[in-house]
Amino acid sequence: MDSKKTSWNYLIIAVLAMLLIASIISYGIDTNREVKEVVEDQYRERQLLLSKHISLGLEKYLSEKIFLLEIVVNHKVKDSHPSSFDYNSFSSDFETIYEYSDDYYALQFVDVNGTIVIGYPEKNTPIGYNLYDFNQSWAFEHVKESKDTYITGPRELQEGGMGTFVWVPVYVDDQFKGTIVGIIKIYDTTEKFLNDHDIAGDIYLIDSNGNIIYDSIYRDRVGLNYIEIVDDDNFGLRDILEDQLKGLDGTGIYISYLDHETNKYESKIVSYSTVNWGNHKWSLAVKNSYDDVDSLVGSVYEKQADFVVFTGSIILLIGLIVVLILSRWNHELEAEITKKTTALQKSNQELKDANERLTNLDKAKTDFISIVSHELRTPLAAIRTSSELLKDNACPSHIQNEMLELIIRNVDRQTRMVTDLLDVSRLDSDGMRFKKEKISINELIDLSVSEVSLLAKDKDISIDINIDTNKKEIASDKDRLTQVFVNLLTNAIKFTPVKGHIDIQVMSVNDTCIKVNIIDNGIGIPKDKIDTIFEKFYQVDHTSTRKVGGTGLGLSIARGIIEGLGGEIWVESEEKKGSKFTFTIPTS
Amino acid sequence: MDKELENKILNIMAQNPDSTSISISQELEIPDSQVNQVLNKLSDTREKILIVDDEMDTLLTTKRALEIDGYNVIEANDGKKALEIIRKENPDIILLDLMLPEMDGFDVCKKVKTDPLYGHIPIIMLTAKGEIKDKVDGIEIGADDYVTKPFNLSELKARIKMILRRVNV
Repeated sequence: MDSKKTSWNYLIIAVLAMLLIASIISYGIDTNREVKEVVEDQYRERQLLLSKHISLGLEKYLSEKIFLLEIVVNHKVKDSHPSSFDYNSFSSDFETIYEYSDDYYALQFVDVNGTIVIGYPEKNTPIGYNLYDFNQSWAFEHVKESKDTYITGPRELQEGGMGTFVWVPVYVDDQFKGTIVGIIKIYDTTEKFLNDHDIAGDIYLIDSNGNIIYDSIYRDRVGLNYIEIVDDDNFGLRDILEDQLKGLDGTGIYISYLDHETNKYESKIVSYSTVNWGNHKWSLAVKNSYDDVDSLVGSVYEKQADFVVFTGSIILLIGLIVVLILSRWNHELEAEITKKTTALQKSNQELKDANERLTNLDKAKTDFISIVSHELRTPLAAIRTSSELLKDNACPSHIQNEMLELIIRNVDRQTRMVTDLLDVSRLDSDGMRFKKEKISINELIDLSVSEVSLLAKDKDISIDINIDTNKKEIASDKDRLTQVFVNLLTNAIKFTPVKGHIDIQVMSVNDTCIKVNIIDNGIGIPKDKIDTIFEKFYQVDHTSTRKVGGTGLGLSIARGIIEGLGGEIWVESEEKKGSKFTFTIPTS
Repeated sequence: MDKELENKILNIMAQNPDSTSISISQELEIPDSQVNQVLNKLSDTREKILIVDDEMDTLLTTKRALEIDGYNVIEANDGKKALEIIRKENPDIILLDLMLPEMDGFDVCKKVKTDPLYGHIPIIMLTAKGEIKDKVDGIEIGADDYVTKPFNLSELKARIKMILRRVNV
């Protein structure tokens, strides 16, 4: 039952530990979701910032190209007079700019008539090409009107590649002198810019119609309209492109199917921002695998898993330690309880024993009173009846004598009984006073034997005395010792058959103690009764009281006296062979 | 043995009304004195009282007092002997002491009162004074009366007389 209880305890603790671990895991998962959200937000933000950064950089870079041309024009115009303006002076500037910036395909001057008059490098300049002749005069007209820089393109160049045309009008004191046209190979320029900045991710650039200006992966797509070529394998990309065309900044995610059959796909994050370059409004996008977020979150997961495993282990460890401590405590408690229970049982047993002893004592007391009252009443009853009989005149004389003898006998018996009872009472209440007088051992024994000589003679019992000690005298209570001898001898005579034999032996034990044996060859005492014969009113056979007479107090009184005198008394006996009563007496 | 002898003697006397103690003794080949003893016993018409008491002196005084009054008194010292004697002597009344060796007065009383042959014999219990419970128990097991010790002799005699008259009526 105890082990069952203990295993229940283990189970409860295990369940508690599991619950704790489960709650930690669930809290961990919850936290993880939040972390993922935060990481995603952060990632999007970062991607957006990246795209903005690139856009701004590109914007600035391209703007510088325009500023350069505008600065050159302004410089020339400021120092010139309309009459003295000479476009040929641009030649050296074109060469310088071309060589310095490396982004121009060509730098040309178109005169007021729309004819390309000078340019650098000459191999990229169709000198004498008239815009009006080839219906290419729209931009020229536009900058002439607006007096402001204007950008056209990109469009296919004759030599291949895409070119963007930057038209800068030249006015000298409000007099139109023509325009400078800077042709920038936008693809190369963009690529150069991006290469210089070492940017992670794929990048594409589209104009406000969706035409692809730059694509870091698919160069052959340049010039195509992105919206037109987007297919269903890139789910969600169209929405992103539409947002881009609206001129918005932002981030979007689309799913790119790699293999429809295995349903393999890749999430992509696209962050896009506008590039404002003169009159153009382009949109630059940075594409990255969105799975990076997952791997990022995954690493967070890993950290968290580490944390959970670590915490769980600690909880389990602590749980284990608690279980161990509890079970040890339990064991100690059990041991303590067992000890206490044993002690309780022992004290219970002791109480039981004590109670039994008390009950026995109580019964002994009741028995004693009952026996005493019987013993006292019986002679009185006999005396009374015989007295009544004597009173009757009709009583014959021989019966009268018989009755008188009976009365005397019973008075003696009563007297003996009362004396013995008084002795018992004194011994019980320690009220017996013992004298200390010089006693001759011989005298003491002679006196005692003479007291019982009549009884012995009646049964023809011989008494032998054998004194084997140097001590002639002892200091003790003569009357009480005589009483002990008489009681023991009377007892011996009572239980010894006619013509029996009694031995009295006296010997020294040491200087301060003598020992007396009184040995008879009587009926003996059964082994199981030997411990009780010194008790009051005890006789081995109840009938023997009647047979042998006596108060039943003799041995009890003898023991009381011997113990009162500081000696010991005991008996050895064999049934049907006789008894040996022994007592010791201090000699002084 | 005694009963057998009694029966034999009674049979001889029934067959031959003239037979004497001597002729009977000759016929049965036993001493004349024994025949006379049986005849005396048979001719004793006194009422027979059994006193059961282990105290010899108490018993003796009661016995003497009742003998003077003309009762035939027989005695027993303990319970077992009392039962033997009751079967042998078939007393008219029993004075039974309570405290007895071997078998106490209660058990003797119970045995006698449950015996169909002797259950009719009245029993007077002799109890020590004050042992009320003993009295009640004594009556319950069928004792006819009780007298407390030490008893008044004339009271005892009166009770014996009364009980015997009741039985004889």
